[in-house]
Amino acid sequence: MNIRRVIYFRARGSKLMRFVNAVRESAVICVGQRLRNEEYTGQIFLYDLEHLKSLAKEFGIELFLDAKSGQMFKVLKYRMRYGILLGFIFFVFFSFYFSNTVVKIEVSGNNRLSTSQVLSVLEETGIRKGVFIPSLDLGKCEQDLKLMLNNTGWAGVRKQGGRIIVDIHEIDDTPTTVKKNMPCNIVAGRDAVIMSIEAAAGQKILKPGDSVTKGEVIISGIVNNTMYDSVVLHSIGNVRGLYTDEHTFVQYFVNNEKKFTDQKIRRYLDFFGLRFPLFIGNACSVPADYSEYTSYFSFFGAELPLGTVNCTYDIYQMKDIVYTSDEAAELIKQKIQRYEKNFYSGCVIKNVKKDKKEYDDRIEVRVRYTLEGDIGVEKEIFMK
Amino acid sequence: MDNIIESGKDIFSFGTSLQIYDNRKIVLSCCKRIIEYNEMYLRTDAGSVIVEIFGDDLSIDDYNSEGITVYGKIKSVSLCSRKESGLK
Repeated sequence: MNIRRVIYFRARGSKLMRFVNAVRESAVICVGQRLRNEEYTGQIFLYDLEHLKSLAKEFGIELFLDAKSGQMFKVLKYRMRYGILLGFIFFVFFSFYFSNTVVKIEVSGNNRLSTSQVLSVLEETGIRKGVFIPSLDLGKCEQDLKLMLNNTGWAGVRKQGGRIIVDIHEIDDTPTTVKKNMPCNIVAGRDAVIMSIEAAAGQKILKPGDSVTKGEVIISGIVNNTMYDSVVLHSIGNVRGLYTDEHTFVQYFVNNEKKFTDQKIRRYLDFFGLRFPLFIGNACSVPADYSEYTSYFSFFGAELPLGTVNCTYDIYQMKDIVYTSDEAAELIKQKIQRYEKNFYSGCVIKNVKKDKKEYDDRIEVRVRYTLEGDIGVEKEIFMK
Repeated sequence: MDNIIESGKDIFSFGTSLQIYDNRKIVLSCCKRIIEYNEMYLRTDAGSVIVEIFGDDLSIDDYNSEGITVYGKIKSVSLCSRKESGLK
């Protein structure tokens, strides 16, 4: 493939040999010279053409230009197409920019920590989309990451082109070990009346029907045997007791609450970390609850650093909501049900006594529960 | 005198060299002038000798280096001195 511009010429005349020698003696590079049928043909570079023409004129030779070849002819055809040059410049610029700018951040190794938590910490260390990579001190970011994230044993930050890859190794929680050899008593965790005692190890001090106060020993780990020696054991057992609990629920007749009136959705174009609004005007100038999610475009399964950010504004007004007595009572009832579900799901509610008081601005309900549940708690016996 | 001149030429490599590649190509290191040339015959002045090349479809490449390269189907090459050829 010829790159330089080559001209194929043909010469005819009476002083052909003198012309051939003149071409030889001049500084013209001429290849493929043939002389047949009184015609001299050859190939020269384009920049020698004028010189050849002058030699032809000097010797009275007729010169014909037959063809031209060379990739430069094709390239120079587009020399006025500035768009090609601009496009090339943009290409070089964007290649450089996206090779040195954070386009994507990948987090791996996080099980308990969410990716958004890690990303928000990374932002504080200076790593976020759109940041110039050479300006980042990745070693310092690693150290900051370890300090800022809880239960992180090790954190590694590395770059791969425009991607920042964060590897986290979390410290597993030490499982609670039951010290089977630890001598202990089983004591009452609260004031109660014992309903049943099941002792697998240790000596029962009390029996069902006895009332206990908080901290009182129910199953002892110190056992006296028949030889007047005492043995210290790890007490194991299950103690169920009847106890009471009390809680007061309050509902005001007038509540200053959020009343949601409208919802606005605003979209942004996320372009390599930069956000461009896809709307005109302000996003939202009134009080609203804000939430957003970003969905990225994909191309043959690969996620692109280009997507839309959907911002939802739930517009609210703070209003005084007035409840009637019945409505307030219904709300308190719901509160009581939620409380029982959350806190008393592991025990049996034997009795419920409610004491309702209505005031000018509120209703108060004092609920007294009688519950049956586990009351036994292990307490270590400290020995010298 | 002729011996001194010949020795000098040998020492300083003022002579002409021919490199023949099969019957396809001849590289002539010194070519002062092309005396006669057509597609079957080439006669050149190579300084101290006259080189005649016979063949078919002969073509010449000149890279502006005092020599030439001859391509074609070469049948014979003959060398004769300038004196014998009668050239001055």
